[in-house]
Amino acid sequence: MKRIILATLLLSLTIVLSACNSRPKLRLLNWGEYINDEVVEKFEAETGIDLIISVADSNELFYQKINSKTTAFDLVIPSDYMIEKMVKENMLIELDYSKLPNRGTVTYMDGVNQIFDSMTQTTLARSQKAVDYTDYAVPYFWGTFGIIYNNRVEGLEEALNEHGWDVYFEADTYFPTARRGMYDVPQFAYAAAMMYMGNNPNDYSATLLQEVETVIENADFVEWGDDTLKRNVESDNLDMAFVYTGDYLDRLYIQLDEGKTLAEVQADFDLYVPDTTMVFIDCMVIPNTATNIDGAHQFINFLLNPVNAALNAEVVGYAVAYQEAFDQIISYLDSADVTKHNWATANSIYYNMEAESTFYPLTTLHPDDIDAINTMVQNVITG
Amino acid sequence: MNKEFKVLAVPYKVWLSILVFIPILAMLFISFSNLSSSVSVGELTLSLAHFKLLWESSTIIAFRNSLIFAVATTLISFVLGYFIAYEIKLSKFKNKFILLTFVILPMWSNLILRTESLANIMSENNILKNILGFNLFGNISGTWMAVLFGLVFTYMPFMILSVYTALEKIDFALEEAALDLGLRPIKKFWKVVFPLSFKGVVTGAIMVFLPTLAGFAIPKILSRGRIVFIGNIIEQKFIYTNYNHGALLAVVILFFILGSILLITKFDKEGETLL
Repeated sequence: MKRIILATLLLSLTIVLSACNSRPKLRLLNWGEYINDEVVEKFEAETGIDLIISVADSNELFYQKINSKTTAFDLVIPSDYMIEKMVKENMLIELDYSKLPNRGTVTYMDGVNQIFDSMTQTTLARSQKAVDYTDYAVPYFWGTFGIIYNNRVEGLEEALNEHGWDVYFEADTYFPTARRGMYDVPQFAYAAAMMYMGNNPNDYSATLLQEVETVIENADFVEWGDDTLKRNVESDNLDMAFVYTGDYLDRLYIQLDEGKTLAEVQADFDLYVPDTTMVFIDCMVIPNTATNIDGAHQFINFLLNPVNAALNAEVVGYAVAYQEAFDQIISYLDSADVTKHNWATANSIYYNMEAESTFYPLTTLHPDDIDAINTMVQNVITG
Repeated sequence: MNKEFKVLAVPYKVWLSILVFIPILAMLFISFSNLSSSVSVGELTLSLAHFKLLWESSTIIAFRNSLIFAVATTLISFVLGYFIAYEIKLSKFKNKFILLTFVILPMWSNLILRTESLANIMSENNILKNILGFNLFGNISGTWMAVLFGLVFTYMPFMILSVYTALEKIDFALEEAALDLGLRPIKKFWKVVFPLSFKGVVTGAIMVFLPTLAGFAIPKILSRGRIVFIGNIIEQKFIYTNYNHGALLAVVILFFILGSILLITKFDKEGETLL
């Protein structure tokens, strides 16, 4: 009995003592499974800062958590449209680039620069303000959207490569029996239809909405899903779906791990990235509730080191935002390590640098417009 | 003594008012006002503007779907479930608890997991087809049949359990008397057993009807997003922080539920059901 009491005392003492430890803390608000633990350890060892990570699973939750001010987060990793909203509402502090010396050593990927440009243009068009979003944000990961397709369907690959979006949306003309799926996110459906029509997916008007409704009706979607889309294409229960490139890579890596070769997987299901497509970017930003602003800069500077960025990407699987980190990953093409080799191959195919593409990040539409889009899509689904 | 019991009831009363009554009032208020995160207190007005949502074709169809599927699920669960319960009651098997355990066996695994697996084996190419060489369910994933099957599969155990409880309570002497007085077994069932067990049917019907009416996960997964219940629309409204519309639809559902409870109290004058 005495021993138990002693042990309990010791345990509580260690807990109390460790809570008093005087190392500075950095509170990071992140997505789940969106950072490599090795990166965390390395950062803590190099800087002596304790990284405390909280997790939320939507941009809207990030916004709420910062706005409610219950926890003073020092660093957040929201996506493009949420950053626009946060900047608009003065929730972020401007970065001090003198504290980010590593910024000079990396080049942002072309796609990343396109996204920042596009965000600036949207803000300019909407509120006549010129905002350079790199003043507030440093990219963390980014990625494209594409059409995952069932390669067991004869001729589908060739048709997609030749006619692009048309094959996906014109069910009457191309592959009338093909099973098409769409994300259960009305704004994605709207944006995809807008790109098919040759418009900017961030434009909105009542007339456009009606045209989009017809387009979505004609596509004759048999599934409005989420993660089910990629799995159904993989298992031959769906033929085409508009998904994150990361969705495809996720299934691809799993199958490669199971011992299939890249060619075998591609013969079953593959990804087509249209010339005009949607992209997203997640950036590190410092909210004005931050208490450890220096620490936040140290963390950003740490990840601006291409070696650390590549290390982080090893687990996360989205595209790295810096050319130097990308080059490092591509260099694994010659690696004897099968996992690294596959990783490099996938990056070189699906984040093709040579392709001439137009990338549109989604922006926040007016709540009334989003509502109209949601209702329109519900009306299409219920027929 | 009485006083002490009153004190003991306080915690739940507080709980009920904080977590049920106040939220319902708030919901009512939100559905009638323009309250949202971007509206300040000074600009608050009451309006019926959100009510035009109720005439949107998707809303009407979603309500219709919820109602039709809830009624159909309840009827099917009643017809199929009643006889299972009756058979368990009649069975000579000593340990009826084990039989009842089999009935609730599916509930031992997580609902979402079960539904996802069901969706999987209902699709065109699945693991069962690989093993058996043919498709056990046909290719019904994404159709109304899949949804109905999933709902009945999930909620029928509630019907069986409550009917069984009611059947067990029936005094065997009454059945003997009926037979003594010359009723054939089938007539005995209709004239004695069934009326006495009807309370159990009503309880079971509530327990099947209400979750089906307000549910959204099962239809979403099994219809592959193509059959929309009112719960799905409410879920979407809340995800997009359109609390006014979400609250309005939730209030309408509340009226449906109140309505069905009123119907039940009409049937159940002695208050022997759960309510």
